[in-house]
Amino acid sequence: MLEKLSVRGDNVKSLKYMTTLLLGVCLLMAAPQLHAAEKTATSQRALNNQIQDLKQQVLELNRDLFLLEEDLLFPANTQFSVFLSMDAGQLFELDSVQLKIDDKVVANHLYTEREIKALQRGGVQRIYIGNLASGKHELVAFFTGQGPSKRDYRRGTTVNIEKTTDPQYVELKITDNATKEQPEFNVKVWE
Amino acid sequence: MRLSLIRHLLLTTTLTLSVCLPVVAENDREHVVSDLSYGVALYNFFQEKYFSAITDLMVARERQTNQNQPFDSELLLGGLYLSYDLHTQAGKVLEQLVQADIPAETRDKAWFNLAKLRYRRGFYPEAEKALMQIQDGLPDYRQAERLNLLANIYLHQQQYDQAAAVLKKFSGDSSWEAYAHFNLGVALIRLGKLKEGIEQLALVGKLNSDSNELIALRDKANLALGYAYLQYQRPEAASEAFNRVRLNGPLSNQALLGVGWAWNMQAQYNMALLPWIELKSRSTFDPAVQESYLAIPYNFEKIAKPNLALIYYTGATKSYEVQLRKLDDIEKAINGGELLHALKPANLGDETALSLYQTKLPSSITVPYLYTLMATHEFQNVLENYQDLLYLQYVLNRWRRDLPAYSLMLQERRRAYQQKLPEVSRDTRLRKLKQLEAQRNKLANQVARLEEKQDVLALANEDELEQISLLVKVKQQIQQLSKKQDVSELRERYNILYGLIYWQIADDYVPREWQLKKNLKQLDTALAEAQAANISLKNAWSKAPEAFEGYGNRIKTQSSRIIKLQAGVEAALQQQEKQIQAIARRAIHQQRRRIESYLVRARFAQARLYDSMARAGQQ
Repeated sequence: MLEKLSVRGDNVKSLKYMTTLLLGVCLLMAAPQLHAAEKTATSQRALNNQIQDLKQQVLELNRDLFLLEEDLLFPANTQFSVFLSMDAGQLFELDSVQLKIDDKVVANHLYTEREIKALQRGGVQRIYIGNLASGKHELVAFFTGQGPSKRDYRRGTTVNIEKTTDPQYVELKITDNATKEQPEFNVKVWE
Repeated sequence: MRLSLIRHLLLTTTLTLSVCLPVVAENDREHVVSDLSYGVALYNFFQEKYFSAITDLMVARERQTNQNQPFDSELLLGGLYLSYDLHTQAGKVLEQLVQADIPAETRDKAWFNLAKLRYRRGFYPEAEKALMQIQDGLPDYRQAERLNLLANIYLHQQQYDQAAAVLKKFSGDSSWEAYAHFNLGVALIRLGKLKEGIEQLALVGKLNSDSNELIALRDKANLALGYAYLQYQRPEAASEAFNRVRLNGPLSNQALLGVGWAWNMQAQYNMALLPWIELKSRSTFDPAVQESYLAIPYNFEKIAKPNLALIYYTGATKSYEVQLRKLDDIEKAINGGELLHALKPANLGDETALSLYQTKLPSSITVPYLYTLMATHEFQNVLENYQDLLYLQYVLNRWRRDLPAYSLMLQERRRAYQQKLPEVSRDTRLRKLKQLEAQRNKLANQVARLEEKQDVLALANEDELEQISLLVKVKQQIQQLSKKQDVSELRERYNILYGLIYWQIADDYVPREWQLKKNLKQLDTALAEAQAANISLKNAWSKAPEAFEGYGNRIKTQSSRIIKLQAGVEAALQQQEKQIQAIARRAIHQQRRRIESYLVRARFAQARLYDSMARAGQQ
């Protein structure tokens, strides 16, 4: 056998031999591997179906619990929510937002890059949900970040709210004022 | 030939990476938000928090807060189900959407998502039909993605000519086009159509791009191209292709191995040694590096340096033995749960953990040995399932932890209600509302009377009332004096003053009457609000026991659902963990078999060389 494999002998012959040998080893390797892989794939398919079913069930449960939580903690007649959105956001790089209602801090949020991108692409963040009694209230939002020319920027926006017995939604919107080359912070009270 | 086997093996490894898809972000500001609930779902969707985004939209459906853009919400929900691998739900939502009376643009997007869904489920003719339904409502940047999908559908149906025809429709610069050429090239080569496949891959292999994603694809194309050229007996072209692969990229080892074989094929054995010796200095758990341990002495034999060959074969044997021992340790670590531990995100509540692993592998002793496995669709699928299950487990645990607090809060509210009930019933303010209503009615009657009789003096202000009262006294005094003296002059002056005041009030009658009515209206509004608050309060108090009962039942029902689902998720998690370990072990066994076969060959070669040297010595 060693003679047959001698490099000084017929090189082509020896190479063919080696190839056959290696191919044989690989085929032997492949047979049980394929069987095991098929078995794994079949049980994984069954498991995939089971997982899909579980995901849907947990989603439905999560929805029901979310509704329960909201009904319980934030009843419709006192519910008050604040949202934040961004239009373009080229003139202001948002770092953080602080919310005060009637001079009391109710929310602080420090933004990740991922969150900023989601806002820039049109997402709306619910930054606060709580309860407010009917009547007049003052909402103040402080925005911290970098303004034009990468300078530190801090701005506050105040809005007076007349809370009724219906749920109330306020949207804080950061927009770019291209004419003034300054960011603007607007407030919209959703009806 | 041995070469062809190695090439075949490496080529298969490379080609199994198809069908490749680019990581393409959606175009900025594609979505217009008219419902806050839709915007909130988008915010989570853009962060790849599919579970949260789906929940947002399900809640919005329930609360009916998606009334301004219901079709956009449904389209997003369909897409989210698709991203979250809930294919049945995605199908239901999208099938309903395409049948509905909706704007053409939304319908086209729905057909597109439906095509993607059918493609993923392997229903290729149906996916093609869905794509054919699309008119011109897709945004431009989606057109390239549509063509890529269509080309892939044809590839899966082995309709290569149609796939090639689709590729000619690409216009502009798009990464989708590069992927489409790559996938078609790979498919053709796998089919044995080397020439046609090489043509497609060459287009990607010479791409000029700054994008990391496209550079990675270019590396892949050049690697596949190199091995295809070797198979096609064109070693010079193969070298060129291999040399275009980045030296610091993840495919550089396979490219170096390929360069060596290209030189070897040209009988340039010394040149072949250069890349292989470079490879030998690299990480030994890479299959290309392991291969180089055999390739180097094989080459030395070719240039008639059996002593050197023997030294390298001996080195290879030792290295393989070490590798096999390491693989034993790795298998033990897998069985001991080391891999599972590494795959668990540090923060279980982080929905985005999976996407992070797409760019950065977890730190583990087992992971480097499973690098190739981890890039496969099979492993990505089980990893995704595993992390989804971990997140479900986290969600269920969190609710189970929070619900008792809600029960407690409910108990407290019930207790407070029972304590306050007598107080509220006794509250005089609730009864005062009726008195206020009576007063308001009295006032309203006065206003009506005043209006009817045009009673000018009733609209006098305080100063005027004082003056009138003074005039009344003056009049009385004039009457008394008239009995004693002539008061005609005084009476005349009185009449002038009285007339003056009357004229003053009468002149201002209209605005005063309007102001009076306005005040009455404001009073009505305030009273209506007070009545509404009163009714709301009474309702709240009267319905409170019922509400407490309702909340109590809801908490109880949900608690049992949580417990049931926790058991289901736990069982699925255990099964998934076993699957991951089985797949990992299978990969380790494959590596073991490969190294064992290399070891056998190295030992054979050693024996053969000893034998031939001994025989040479005898001669």
